[in-house]
Amino acid sequence: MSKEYSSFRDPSGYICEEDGKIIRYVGSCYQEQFDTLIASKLYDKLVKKGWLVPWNEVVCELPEGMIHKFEVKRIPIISYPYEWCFSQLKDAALLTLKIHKAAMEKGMILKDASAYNIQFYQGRPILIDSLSFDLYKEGMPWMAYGQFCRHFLAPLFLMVYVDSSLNSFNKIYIDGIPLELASKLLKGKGGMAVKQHIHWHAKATNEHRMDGRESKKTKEIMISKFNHLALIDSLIRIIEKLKVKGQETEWGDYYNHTNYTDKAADQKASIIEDYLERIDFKAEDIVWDFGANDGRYSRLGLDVCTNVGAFDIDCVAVEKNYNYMKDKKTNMLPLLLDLTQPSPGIGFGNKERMSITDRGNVKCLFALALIHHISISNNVPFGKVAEWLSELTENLIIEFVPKTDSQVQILLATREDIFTGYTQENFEKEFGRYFKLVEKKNIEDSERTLYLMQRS
Amino acid sequence: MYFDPGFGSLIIQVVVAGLAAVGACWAIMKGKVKGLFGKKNVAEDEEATEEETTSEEVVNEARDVNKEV
Repeated sequence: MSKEYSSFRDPSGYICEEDGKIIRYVGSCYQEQFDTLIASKLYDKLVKKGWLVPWNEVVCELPEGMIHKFEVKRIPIISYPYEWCFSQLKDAALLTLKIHKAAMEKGMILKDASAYNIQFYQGRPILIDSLSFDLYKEGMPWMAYGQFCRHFLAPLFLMVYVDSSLNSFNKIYIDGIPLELASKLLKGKGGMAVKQHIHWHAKATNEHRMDGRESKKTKEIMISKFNHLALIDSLIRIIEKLKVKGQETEWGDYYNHTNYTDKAADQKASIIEDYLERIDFKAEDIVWDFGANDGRYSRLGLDVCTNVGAFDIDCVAVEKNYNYMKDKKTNMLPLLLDLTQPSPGIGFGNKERMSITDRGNVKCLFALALIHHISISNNVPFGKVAEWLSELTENLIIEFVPKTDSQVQILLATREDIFTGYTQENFEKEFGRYFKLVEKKNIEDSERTLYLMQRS
Repeated sequence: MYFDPGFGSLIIQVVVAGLAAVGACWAIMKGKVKGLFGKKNVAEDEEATEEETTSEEVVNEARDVNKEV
């Protein structure tokens, strides 16, 4: 049994892995809430809507202090809020509010509103923390309101009114963006919604930082159910209206400005399909596509297995891919990732939220039209790229882009060409230290070569 | 609660929830006022329908009378 490292804050229970299964234990201190969750049919309602991960009870001897053991549906690709595009964060926020509202109809309440309680499954957000519910008593305020503003509202407002990349702040602030910081960055921006939930909120948080340390004062704060629900409805309306303005980004319109002819693009897809057929996939295997852009090649992975992670540095590309896929009910998950500084392990011990490397060891990884950006634009030698990729994947489909390619010429146009080692021969040699070369094929109408490699 | 909700967050929540509630009440009242005008129109339609039905019945009775004849 290995306990999930991040499952330690809430004493209601914990998550662990046993015999390859995800297990949730429910603690005795959660008895009353658990009974209400089931008896009120709130659990049934949320699972039926696809809003909450389902579980099956495991009847066996339980550890001390635990009252239930459940096998929980495994989420194939784990992601974190700083890897989500704007629409993913928006949908996660709306789901949190709708679940909270549904809970209140059944006499319960969401006791926390952490973005880490949400994962993506079949293209849509889903709540994974089944013990997030507490009993609602008339007059109770929403204790998680502050957390909701830090985890969801602040980054959403920053993405809309300042810059769409500012979701990356979640990487350095594990409990959400501090409201004081958000308030400074949002000065003079946004309307009444930003004023209330960020500026006034930040001021109140600052002024009352030392108050309420006596628990009695916190217990004196009351809000009627009508006002509470009005607040939730208001937050839903505010978030639904949020839109990131259309932005031209470096990669957002990539496929309209490449040097692939239609014939070359079709042949590239055909080669990838051929390579995938040579790999022994199981349905639950995972394919990653680095530099996926709008996901057109990532989708080929869905023909061989059910789980595809489509990673790109560009928020517009990920946004397009997510909005295209979200109603298709597939487990293809577009995510933001900068390969030159990929998601690190963060939180306590740098282990609470896993690095992308720790989430790796997938069945197959695509590195298409990518190597020149890493090795030339970012000066990373072939050997280092190969070493890292060998930690991430068993099989590699990688495209070599030579210096004579027009895209590389563009990269070299404004800098000295110090890349004497950037040759196809050296590429094969360096990658050959970590991978076995299974096949290579030239793409017609282009100077590029597609390789199939297997980790040695 | 396993974390500190923040006293400032709770205080500001009372304010913003209050404002949201005022907005919600206004929306409900607006809906009711619209509904009142809406109900008047429905009532007029129902009267018109009743008159039409009465006219139909008269025509049908006349036909039946003619048939008998």
